[in-house]
Amino acid sequence: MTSIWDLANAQLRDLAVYEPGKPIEETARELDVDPAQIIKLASNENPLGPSPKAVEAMRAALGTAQLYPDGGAFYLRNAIAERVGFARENIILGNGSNEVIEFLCHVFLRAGDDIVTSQYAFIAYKIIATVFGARTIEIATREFEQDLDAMLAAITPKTRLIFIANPNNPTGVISDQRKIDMYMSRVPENIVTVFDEAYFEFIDRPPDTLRYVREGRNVVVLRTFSKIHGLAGLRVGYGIAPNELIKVLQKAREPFNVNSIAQTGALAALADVEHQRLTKRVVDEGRAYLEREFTAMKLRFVPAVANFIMIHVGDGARVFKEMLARKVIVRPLKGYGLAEWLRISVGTMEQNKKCIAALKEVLSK
Amino acid sequence: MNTKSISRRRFAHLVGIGAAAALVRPRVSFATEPSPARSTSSSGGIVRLSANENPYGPSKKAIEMMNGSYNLCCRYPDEHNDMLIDALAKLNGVSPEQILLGDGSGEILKFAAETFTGPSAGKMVVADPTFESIAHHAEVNGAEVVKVPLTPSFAHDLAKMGAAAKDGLIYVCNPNNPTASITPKNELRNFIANTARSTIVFVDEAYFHYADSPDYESVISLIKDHPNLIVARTFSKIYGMAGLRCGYCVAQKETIEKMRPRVMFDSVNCMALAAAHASLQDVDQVTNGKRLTNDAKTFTVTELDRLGYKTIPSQANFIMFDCKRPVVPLIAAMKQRNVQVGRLFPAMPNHMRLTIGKKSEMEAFLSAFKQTV
Ligand SMILES: Cc1ncc(COP(=O)(O)O)c(C=O)c1O
Ligand SMILES: Cc1ncc(COP(=O)(O)O)c(C=O)c1O
Repeated sequence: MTSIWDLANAQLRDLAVYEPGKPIEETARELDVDPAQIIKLASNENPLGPSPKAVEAMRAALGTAQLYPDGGAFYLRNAIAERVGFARENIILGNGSNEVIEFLCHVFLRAGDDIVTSQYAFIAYKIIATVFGARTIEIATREFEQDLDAMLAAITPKTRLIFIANPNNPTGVISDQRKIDMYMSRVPENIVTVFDEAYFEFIDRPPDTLRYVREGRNVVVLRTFSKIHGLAGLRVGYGIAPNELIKVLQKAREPFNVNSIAQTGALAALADVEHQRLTKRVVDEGRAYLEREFTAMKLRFVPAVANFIMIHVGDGARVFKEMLARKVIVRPLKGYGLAEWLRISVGTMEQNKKCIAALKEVLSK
Repeated sequence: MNTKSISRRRFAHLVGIGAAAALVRPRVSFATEPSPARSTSSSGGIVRLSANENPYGPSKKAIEMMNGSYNLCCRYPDEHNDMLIDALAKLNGVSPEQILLGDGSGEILKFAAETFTGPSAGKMVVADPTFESIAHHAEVNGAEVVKVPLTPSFAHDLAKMGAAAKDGLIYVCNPNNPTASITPKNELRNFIANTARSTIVFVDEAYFHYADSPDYESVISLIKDHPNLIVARTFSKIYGMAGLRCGYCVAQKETIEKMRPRVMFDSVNCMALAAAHASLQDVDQVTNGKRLTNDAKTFTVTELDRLGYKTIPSQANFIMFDCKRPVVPLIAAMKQRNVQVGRLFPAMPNHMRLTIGKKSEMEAFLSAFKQTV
């Protein structure tokens, strides 16, 4: 007898599962210590927390939590549009920028299609493409640098989407303006290019990809409120693209995908330039400190531009575990095929110092 | 995507000083575009009786819990996700692997349509009229959608729905939106027992808490015997959390595993998780909500009856009544008088769907309605 299991998409069966950073509470319980003693540097979150202005706005928004959200997110899309110099019709909101990746795959991928991305690219692209029965072509990096030329050369007749995380998570490398311009001058018109700029606000002189949106090219730029704005828990991210492309993506979106507290909180966070500036300063100083220490410890690391750094420790699983025993949660990268590396998010200076102290202990053993 | 590590955790602990200190300080469109600033409250002179929302708001405990959770906003909510799943598993007497959370139960409907219907997976069979979202998702997925009219007593015509199905999924909305009517428990029970296991029976119990007829029951208890049964619930209705977006479904583990790959990692936000968890501990909210809604409903139905308008017996927080004329111009006329009522359901063009708000809101509706007709 046929069962429904035989009918469901075969490719879903063996799909890899995304492994989030190990939570604070779970770690505290396992170590039998107070959660306040745990330092989590595992998910590239904002160590300062959300903007106080966002908190204020959220508090006020609780009063209407029983009403469905504004499905068109009128105010938030307007504010984002104004910030990035586009119109509301150029903005789509996702339940996290991860959901915009889902819209892209949903709308453009059929079973048997391809996406092209880089080796070690943010793993969501591959996971989500697989759900839609598409194959992921991963192009080898050179010293972790994304090889955009090779990505172009790898395009097949089945290629629909190209994902470029800039900078990439977990490696931290960024492709510069020259490389991007070269890429854009050669990429075929029928392919949609996604520049995932989750960490855009941390970058000192970020390459300009929005010019290609302005030119009406098939480009989607992804940004998020999860990083610099410290609102990862609220789930709101967005895509910026030419209006026609946004219209297509809207077809995959559920009307109430972004909750009302997130809409209100994000709106206030966007306006709180001071909190963004403070966060960037803390991250800049923390990153410089960590890189100095890694250099002094003769640890290989990938020069970083955002709020995380990838370092070479040899046995990543062992160091991860022993750091955990010292109440510091970092991210092991075996799932990315980088078993000798760890990713460390930049925390407050106090957290960074404790992290370095623990790392020194672990590595001297 | 969705974490599989399910473990026992207590929420209150995390919300307290611990975590705070740790911080050191397609084809068919659902999305409407563009949306002008809309009224967000019945207080601004607008009486909003259009979306089956709960006028009493979230539980005080939920508000308190959310107010204690701002510091968690900068963290991805994986752990809280697991904690709510644990609580829901306990509540429903199932294991955590049998629960899937969604960004509203609307997202659960999407997962189910995408997983179990389509050109190769099978048809989508729905009642007419019913809540339309799952059928839209099936269409997006390229599935054939079969609509089976309700019976004269506004129950699902299960015999015809069963006959129309081939693999795929049969959607049973109980109580049904927009009619607020129920499908009798014996009929549904037999239907589930007799449906081929290659066809999913999806029972949407969004309005479960409002149903008090002896002829109504939840079918969650049948899940253990039926791998093809999925039951959906939401925090948008009796729990007053529509803006926060949290819903879930219960099914056998294997059935859940089929849908799980579609679940976006961390799809339920930290505020919704905190509020949902707190709401489950507030039994008074459910009792009071039911009582207040029933009182306002009885009042409204009696008044409408007095005016000569017949209401379909309602087992939900909304009613559908025969307005004896095309509803579309009425909807517009009511809007002119600052009262928002339910949209047109094409299968019943002379009926109006009306959410049961507070008694004062129902009075405002009745006075506007009288003036209009
Ligand atoms: C490159 C990149 N893109 C997207 C995301 C997802 O972010 P969001 O929280 O907006 O879904 C992340 C999160 O870590 C990321 O590193
Ligand atoms: C029958 C039914 N199911 C599901 C939903 C979706 O609810 P939510 O996505 O808010 O959980 C609704 C909303 O009105 C509904 O009436």
